[in-house]
Amino acid sequence: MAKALKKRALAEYSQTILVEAAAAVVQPHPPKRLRLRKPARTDGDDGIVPAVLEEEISNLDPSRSSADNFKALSRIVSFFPSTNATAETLLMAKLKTLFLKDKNAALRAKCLTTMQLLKLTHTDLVGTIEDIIRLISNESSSLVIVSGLNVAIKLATTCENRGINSRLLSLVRRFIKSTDARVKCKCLQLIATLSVVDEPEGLADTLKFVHSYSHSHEPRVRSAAFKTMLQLHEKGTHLDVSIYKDVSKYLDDDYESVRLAAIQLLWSISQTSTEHMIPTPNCTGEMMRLIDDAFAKICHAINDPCVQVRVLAATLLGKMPQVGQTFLDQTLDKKLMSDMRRKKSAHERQWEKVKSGEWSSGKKWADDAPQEVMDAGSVTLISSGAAGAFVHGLEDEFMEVRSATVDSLCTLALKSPDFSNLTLDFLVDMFNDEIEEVRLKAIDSLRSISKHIVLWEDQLETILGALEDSSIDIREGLHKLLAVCHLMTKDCVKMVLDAVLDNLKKYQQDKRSIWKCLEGVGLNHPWVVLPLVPQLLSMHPFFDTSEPDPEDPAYVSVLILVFNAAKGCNTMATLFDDKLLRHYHYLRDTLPLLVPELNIGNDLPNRHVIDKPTATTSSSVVGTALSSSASSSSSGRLVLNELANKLKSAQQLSSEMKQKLNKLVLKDFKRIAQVDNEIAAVAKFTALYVRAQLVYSNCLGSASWTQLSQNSNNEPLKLQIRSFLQLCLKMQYGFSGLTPQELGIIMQLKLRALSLQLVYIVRGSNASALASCQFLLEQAEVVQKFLESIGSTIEDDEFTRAMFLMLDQTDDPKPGTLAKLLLPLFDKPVQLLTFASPIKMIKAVIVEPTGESDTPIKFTAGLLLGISLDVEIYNLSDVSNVRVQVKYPDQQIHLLCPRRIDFRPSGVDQIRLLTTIRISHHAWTEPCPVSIAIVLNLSGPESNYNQKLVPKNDPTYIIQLCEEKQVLVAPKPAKRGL
Amino acid sequence: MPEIKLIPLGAGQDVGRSCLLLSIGQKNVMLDCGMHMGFNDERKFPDFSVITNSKMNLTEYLDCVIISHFHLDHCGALPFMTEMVGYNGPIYMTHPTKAICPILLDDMRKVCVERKGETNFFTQQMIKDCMKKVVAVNLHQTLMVDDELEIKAYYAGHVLGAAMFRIRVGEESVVYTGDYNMTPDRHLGAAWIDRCRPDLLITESTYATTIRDSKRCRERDFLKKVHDCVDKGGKVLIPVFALGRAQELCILLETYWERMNLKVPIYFAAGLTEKANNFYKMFITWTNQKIKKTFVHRNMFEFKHIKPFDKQFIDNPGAMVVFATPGMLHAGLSLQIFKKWAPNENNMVIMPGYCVSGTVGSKILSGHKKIEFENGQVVEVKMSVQYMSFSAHADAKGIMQLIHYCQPKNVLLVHGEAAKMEFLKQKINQEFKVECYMPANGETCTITTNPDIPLDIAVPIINKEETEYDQQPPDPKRQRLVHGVMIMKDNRLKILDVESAGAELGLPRHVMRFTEKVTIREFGAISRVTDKIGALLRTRLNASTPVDTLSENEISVDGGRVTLKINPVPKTETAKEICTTWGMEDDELGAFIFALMANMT
Repeated sequence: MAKALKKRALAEYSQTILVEAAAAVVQPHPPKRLRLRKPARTDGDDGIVPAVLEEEISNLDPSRSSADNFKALSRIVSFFPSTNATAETLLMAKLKTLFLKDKNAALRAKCLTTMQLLKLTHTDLVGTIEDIIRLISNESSSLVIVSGLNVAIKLATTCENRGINSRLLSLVRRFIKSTDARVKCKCLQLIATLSVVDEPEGLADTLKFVHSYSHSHEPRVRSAAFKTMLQLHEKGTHLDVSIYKDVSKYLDDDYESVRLAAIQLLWSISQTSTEHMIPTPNCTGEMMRLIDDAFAKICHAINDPCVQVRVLAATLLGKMPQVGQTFLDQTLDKKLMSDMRRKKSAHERQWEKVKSGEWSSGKKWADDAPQEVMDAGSVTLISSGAAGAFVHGLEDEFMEVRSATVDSLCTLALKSPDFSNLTLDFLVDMFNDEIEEVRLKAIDSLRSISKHIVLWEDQLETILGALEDSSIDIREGLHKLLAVCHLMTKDCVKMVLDAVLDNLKKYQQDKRSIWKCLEGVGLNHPWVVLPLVPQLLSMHPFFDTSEPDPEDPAYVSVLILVFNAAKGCNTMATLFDDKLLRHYHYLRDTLPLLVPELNIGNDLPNRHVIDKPTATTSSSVVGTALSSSASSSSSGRLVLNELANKLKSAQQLSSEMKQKLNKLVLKDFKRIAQVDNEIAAVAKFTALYVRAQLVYSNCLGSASWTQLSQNSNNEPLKLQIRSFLQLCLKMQYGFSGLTPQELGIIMQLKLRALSLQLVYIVRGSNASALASCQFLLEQAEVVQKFLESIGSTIEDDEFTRAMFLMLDQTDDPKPGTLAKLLLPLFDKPVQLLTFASPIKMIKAVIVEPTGESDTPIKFTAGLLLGISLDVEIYNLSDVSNVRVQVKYPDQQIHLLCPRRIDFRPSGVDQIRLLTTIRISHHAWTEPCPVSIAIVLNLSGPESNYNQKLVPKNDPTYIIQLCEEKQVLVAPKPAKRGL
Repeated sequence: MPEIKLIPLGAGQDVGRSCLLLSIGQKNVMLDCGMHMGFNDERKFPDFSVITNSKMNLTEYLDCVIISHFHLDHCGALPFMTEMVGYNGPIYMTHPTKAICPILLDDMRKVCVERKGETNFFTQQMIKDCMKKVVAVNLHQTLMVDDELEIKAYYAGHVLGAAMFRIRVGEESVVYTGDYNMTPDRHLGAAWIDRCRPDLLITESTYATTIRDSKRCRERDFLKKVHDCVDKGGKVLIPVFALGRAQELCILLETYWERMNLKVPIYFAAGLTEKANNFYKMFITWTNQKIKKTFVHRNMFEFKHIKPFDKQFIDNPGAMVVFATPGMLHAGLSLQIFKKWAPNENNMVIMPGYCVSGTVGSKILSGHKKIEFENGQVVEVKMSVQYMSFSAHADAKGIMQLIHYCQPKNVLLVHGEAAKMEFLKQKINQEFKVECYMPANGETCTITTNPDIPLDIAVPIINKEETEYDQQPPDPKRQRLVHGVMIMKDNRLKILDVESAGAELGLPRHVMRFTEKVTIREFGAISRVTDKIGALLRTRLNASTPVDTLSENEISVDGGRVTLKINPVPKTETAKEICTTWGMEDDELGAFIFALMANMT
């Protein structure tokens, strides 16, 4: 096969096109892959590197001093990995001789570590490991042995050769007798990594052997032994219960590394032999479950002096769900006393107040005075067993421990309803933590265990106290919590409502989150809300009260609570009067997601007005389908298919007729998108596709295309081509859930648009087409790769096929030639397709600013004004192209890139952008609106970041995701003389 | 047996005037030098005559003085001792203590001299001179006071710069905790010590019989009360002492104000607090995780919401929170404010600490509704009165935890009440099985120690033993034997191998050799017999024990460990006498060869 390599003179890239010999061209010619390759860098230094390297390597000589050789070796290492094979073979030989001849331990260790840097094939690997084994088997310096073993581990894990592994293992058995702790640790590590799993007996022996090293007098060896056992266990060895006692002894080791490893191992044992019975520690002959004992021991570690141990202990506690209930309950138990008298904790005191229905007198000094005298013998000061472990963990100095404890509490509470009731108080306490992350975590944990718990006034009071927090995350977390938890009494509901209304007054921006919260509260407590209704809606038995403003957020909040409660409580509806019913219908229309469908007020005449088809549909099919059942999704699909079929059957029609038909169908699609939510995205997508076809045929049909020349006025054509390109981009980036095939179609369409653009530039303008041509070629390659990657199941677009063929045959892809060759290809028709996959449209909704405010925001001209922005973005997976577009009245457009951390995931396929955008301008005489929109800026990814290709802020490459919102601003000139 | 002696000059079964005399390995150390706030006579200061009576002055007697933290009951008597009694030796304290201590001392001096009119009190200059004798130490810095005495500081929580000290002389060591806190708070971390296993742990025991509730409840309660009060438009008065808890409460309120976005003003009224706050800002490394991590963005002690107080603000309308000194409402600004605000039921006073009986603070806490002052003025108390305990001492569990951390051999309790100590003492005995002491003031407590005795071992001996031990996997039951000679010389112990021991002591080495004779019947010349025996030995012994024929009638096995000499028996032709000689340590080999020879016949 002949390969011709062509180089384009003008570009920085050299391009290689593989072309099959002309003779081989048969008709069903499979398109050859195009390949662009950046040539290997030919910098000035590159030529010298090997020379220097080779010189250094050849200079390595045992006759030189060790220090010199060491330095030379360090220099050589710095060249890696850009070395060639010959140099490496030479180096390997040199290293071996050096190792054998030299006496210096450091140098010899360096030799060994250098070996692992060489690029070795599999056979080489085996050879090298064998060499290393030979070299170090008679070694006495522990430094050399350690580095040798280290290299051996690394190489052996990559080559995975049984024979080598067993040879290494037997070598290790010898080396482990060394007195040096480092060597022993390395040996244990090697045993851990290289032991083979499928010989259970051998492994059990190994485990026993390793376990005996946990008694070593050297802490490093002890912890290495424990870690090795753990690794062997992970490989599938059974940890015998008999070692449990031995391991638990080391929980109180002097060294924290040992304690860390021992705790981990203890946990592993407890997980494998959960139900094993062991004698209780106080030697009364009673037996207890091993898991319980292990739990108690790990609980003890939560008082460890070392932070890492505490974190590990707190984390592991959460992973022991099998533990018995009594032990679990103990973890939150801390007997309080004061001057030897039993004292109630604050939680207990509050609880009593609620129980007795009496509230704090608050006046009496020391009303928490301790009561009964405790027996000195009964008090245990050393936490035995699990007692109070979580209490300690939650009070820890370090947030790592606290947050690990909160996590563990949460996971354990999820398993046990009783325990979750106990944890409640403590989690609520954590709302007061000094670090926000921990507070947030506590709130989230509480939410996840909410199904088990019922809140009383005392707990609720503390929870609601946190609603005044200035952090939006905390408040929204609390709203979510309140929405799912169960409240005991009607007073609780009232308290919640009052608190959130206060919250609403203080932080207007929480409106939606609060509504969502009250929706949940209403749904969860229909019967508790019922007695509150008259009070909430300020109804009076015989006086008519004034009608509240249905736009008032606070009133809307109350209504949302009531309506949602009414859903589960039929009697409530009878309480509603006329104006309330009116408000219900109003809210049902404006906030359909928050207000449920209620079985009331059907008698109101104008209810279904909104659902009736208003637009006059042109096609009879659409008309009938819509009138029969507007919202049924199956019929919506039916209509879609019908429309698509219509287009297909219209293939034979004249182009004029086709265009007319397309226009009509387009209208229908748009209407369907409005009417049927479920298939809106598909309909919109199809509409775009049809529209693209329309624009395309318009382009080709226009007079300026047929007589394309540089002299004529081509502006309209240029615009049309642009809009064609933009439609393609909209289809590619504006939707998610496209199948690869569909994506392929769109990309081909885009390729067509780019070709069109190229031809236009070459023929119809006097601009340079080099960059566009280059880009077209790159894109062609991308498309081809993509099509190959998804398999050739799809029928290639005829245009694409022809184009690839053409590119293959072209030796000299210069713009002029390309354009000439492309020109006849445009007659190939665009495919007619129906789209059925679950396509979702990417869209955004700007929640804030609302755009309704009439009062201008004033700021000093030339300085910055921050506008807080709250946007919901749907169905977008990659946020890197999202920009905030700010359009000033003088038609200046700025694209602002929000910070990554401002995007927060908020549900399925939903991203919330919460940020502050900064705008600035010169002084204006009067306030003017600034439009803000969320857009995708594709000028980067769609031009390979080549700025020559796309002018700055070219609107072609900017896809708007939402409606613009306007903010009235008034930059005032700075005052002089301040 | 070596002894550690301890005499409490103050704080023995008592709170206040902490001052302990420690004698350890011929060194005398004074731990803290505090004054008693309850007394106005000479009982205020520790009784140094215990030392001076023994015809030594303090400088001669004491090797050093260690101050644990800046509270006056731990450092109040320092200028008195150094300048008025006379002491010129080194004084050790941490950097923050050294910085803040003089401020407090000067303040106290002013109160005593200017208010109470005491004479014969130390002057400002004396405080300065005293401070010049102070050596500042860092945490975990091991400092040699002299060749033998070594001290090391550990973090203690409690207040900024509070430290625990480990004092070591030779193999004996003592840990003195000062005051400490095992639960972290808003601005300080928890006390921490490594497992140093001292012979004696001297710990405070203020809360020996208390186990405290979670601090979060307390904090939340406090914040909620303040918040509710200011929401209603009331004024909150918090009487505090200038340093320590005041900063804790400030941080608590400051962060809460920040979190809740409150705008109500908070005032702090105290001159010296501002000075002290500067030091708090500087010693960030001594605070807890949160403050340490965030100080780059904002130093927590640079309060945004807390402003200095002016007396005119008392009559300002609207809600406010005021911190004012002193803490027990017995005098000064806090009392002045109290008089103004007490008659309004919207207002509130929060007492964050203990109040001595007789003060206004204790009166209102015990529920008095009308307070009469010395000048006959009567104030009706309608404001709400709250008590919140924000103490920074370890509770019983905390004390036990510290003991568990450092694992001492003996424990000694100070700085607490006798009855409470009794309980804790019993508990410590039970749980840790260690001896526990609680001497009263002036009572000498003697603790005999079992110190480890250091011993030099020649490295080859150790290596040999270790190599041998490491031939098999470690087993805790296996004995580890070291063969050598122990030499006691120049007050030092050494273990050497036999040769070096002989050389060291100048003694020649005596060797015991056994010689056995056996007569065999063998014809021929001596040399032939020798060769024959040699050949026999070579076949029977393995290669590692070489057999050499030295002369015609002499064979040496393994370089002379066993020698064989073949002599003709006179008067007979056939019998030959073989002398087998071996040293005592080669008994096994010798016996084997001898048996071989004996069997030849």
